[in-house]
Amino acid sequence: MEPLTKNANTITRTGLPRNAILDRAEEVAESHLPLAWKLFPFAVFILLLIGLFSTWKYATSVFSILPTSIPILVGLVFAILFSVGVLLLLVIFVRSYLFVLKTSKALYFQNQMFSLIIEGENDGIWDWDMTTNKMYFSPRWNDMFGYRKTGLSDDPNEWLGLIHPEDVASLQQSLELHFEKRTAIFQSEHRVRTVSGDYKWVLDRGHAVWDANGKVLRIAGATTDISNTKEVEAVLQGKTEELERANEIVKQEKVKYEALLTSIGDGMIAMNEEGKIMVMNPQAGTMLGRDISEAIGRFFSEVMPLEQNEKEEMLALGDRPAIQTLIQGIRVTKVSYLFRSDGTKFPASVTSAPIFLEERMIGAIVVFRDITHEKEVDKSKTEFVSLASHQLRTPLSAIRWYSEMLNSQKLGPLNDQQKSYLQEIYDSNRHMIELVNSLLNVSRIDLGTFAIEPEPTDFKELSESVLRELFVKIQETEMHVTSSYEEGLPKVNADPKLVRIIFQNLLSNAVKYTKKGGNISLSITADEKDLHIKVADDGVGIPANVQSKIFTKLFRADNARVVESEGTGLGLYILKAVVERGGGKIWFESAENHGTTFYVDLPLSGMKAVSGAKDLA
Amino acid sequence: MPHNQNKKILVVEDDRVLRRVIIDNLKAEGFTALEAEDGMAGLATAIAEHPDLMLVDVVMPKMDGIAMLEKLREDEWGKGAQVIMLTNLSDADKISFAAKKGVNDYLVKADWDIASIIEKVKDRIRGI
Repeated sequence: MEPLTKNANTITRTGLPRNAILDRAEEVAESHLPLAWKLFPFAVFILLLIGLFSTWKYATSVFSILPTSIPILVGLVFAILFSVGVLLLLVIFVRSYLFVLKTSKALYFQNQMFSLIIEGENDGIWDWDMTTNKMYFSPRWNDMFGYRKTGLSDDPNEWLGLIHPEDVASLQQSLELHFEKRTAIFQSEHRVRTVSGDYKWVLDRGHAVWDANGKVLRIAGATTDISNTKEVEAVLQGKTEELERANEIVKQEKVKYEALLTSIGDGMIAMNEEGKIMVMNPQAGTMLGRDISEAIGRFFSEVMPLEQNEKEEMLALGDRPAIQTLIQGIRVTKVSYLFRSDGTKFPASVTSAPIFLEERMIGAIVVFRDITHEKEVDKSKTEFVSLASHQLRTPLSAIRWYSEMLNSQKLGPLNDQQKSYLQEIYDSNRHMIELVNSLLNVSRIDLGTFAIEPEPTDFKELSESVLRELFVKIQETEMHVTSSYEEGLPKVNADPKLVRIIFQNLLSNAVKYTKKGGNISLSITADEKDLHIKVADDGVGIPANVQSKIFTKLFRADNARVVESEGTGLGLYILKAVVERGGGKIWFESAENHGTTFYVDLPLSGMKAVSGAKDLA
Repeated sequence: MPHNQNKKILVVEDDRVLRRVIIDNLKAEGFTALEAEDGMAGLATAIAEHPDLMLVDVVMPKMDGIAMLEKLREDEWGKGAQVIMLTNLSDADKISFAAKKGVNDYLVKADWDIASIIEKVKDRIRGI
């Protein structure tokens, strides 16, 4: 067979000679004809020759012994035989022609399809003739790799030499599999070296033609440039690897966070935005006496139905930290009593915080710590302070009474210096007593156990009584004190001891922190709901930068220290606690060097009784 | 002053220093001052002497002021005896207990001048 390149003048746009293919197809078709069909024309031809030869031979012999009567009959027989031979020959030719015609038509359609394929814009075509071991590459194929100018030789080894070394083995395997008819089509993805030395990923697909004995005659196919696909694949591979790495990191993080969750001493419960428990660490399970696997997926409020506040009063669902976080999206920290599955409870510091994912709240996390021990320590500490304070009061009482006795001069006269020294002892002792009382009050406030014993209380009378106690000091400092009371103030059901503490703190602070000759005003008014107490001075004021701290225990502003060195830093702390426990509220307005105004609102409905506790001193 | 001489005041106080200054002041006012240094002795003296008024501390050895008050109220005479609790405790439960037991006053020592305490005593005696 001739290489296809021979019919170059009939090459199609994509470079394939159609006629060559057609020729080839006929040959292929012919190679598939049965042997009898191939031999039949020869047999007929030989018969014809014999007929002709016999006719000629007999005729010459007959004509040589002329005349005779038989020759005409014999000549006729031979003529008939000759005619039959010609006729048979004619039939054979017609049949052969019809066969070729039919085959050609079938091949024509295949040829059309093949043309369509090879005329495809992107694919290069190749054809490998195994009988000659030569290869043909279409111009497009050459273009794909930049060999148009130089042209690739028809040596298959040159082509194989262009295949990336790593891909040769798999390509050969694919070819062999197809040659052995184990694959319907030949298919291979491999890299082909371009003229510039780079490699290009291609997909080769082809089909072989075998002879009747199964020997491969040729294989032809198309080469598709899949470097883009490969690039995408490479990107995808990269992404996949990235994902795998990310996944690995996530796994590691998960291990870390699980280690963290199991190793921390605090209980932790995470729930989704519906309040269903998603995660619960072993400590939470242990502390609450709950089976973690049973709790997961159930509502928090179902697993932990009860919670009490610090005063051991039942909390409404909406007041529980976790629920507040879920509803309001806020972080909440409070001391609660949590219940175990057996109904017992323990004090816990509970912090509930929202979990946000891209600014959307997706749940809440509750962390809690058993503070039983801390509570005990706190309690014994407070009890110690309380006891120590009582013990301190005994010698303080002695100092008070003995210095008072001497100062009364009932036991004999004193000179002025002696008298003033004794007064110093007495005053210092009084201060010490106040300090001890304040400490006692703070310990009771901190323990949350000071008593409230409400009774109808006349606020005007109490405030006037406190003002009388301060009279000496007010006179000494030449202050102008004005007080105004709304007409017909009702008596309020309040604890007079606490109300006294409120007035003592408000008024003594005003006196302490107002300079000589300053002004203090007290007013008490009422509306339908509240009693309003207002104490204003034009004293040193509270600097803006410490205004947020003044109700803090032991805090004293610098300017307050200058004016009054003996303050305890406990007065406002106690005041706020007393007002708030009495159901009221306290706030102030102040400007440094321009004075302070304190406001206290107490409900006319009165204070709620709290018994079984300690009185504030 | 002579009026007070007929009146017996019992001071039940374990602290010697405090007891002394109270006694001295009562005597200075002309009272007959009796003293006891714990609840047990105080109860015995009270039942034996029937004082007009008692100043009773709370925290004391052997028998504290609350227990003494309880026992005192079991006594026929003691039921109506005049008692001022004079202590440095300010526990609400102790105060409310004392109130239930008919205590006339509950004074925190450190918060009172001795002169004011003596005034309270005199007021109480005058009221009898």
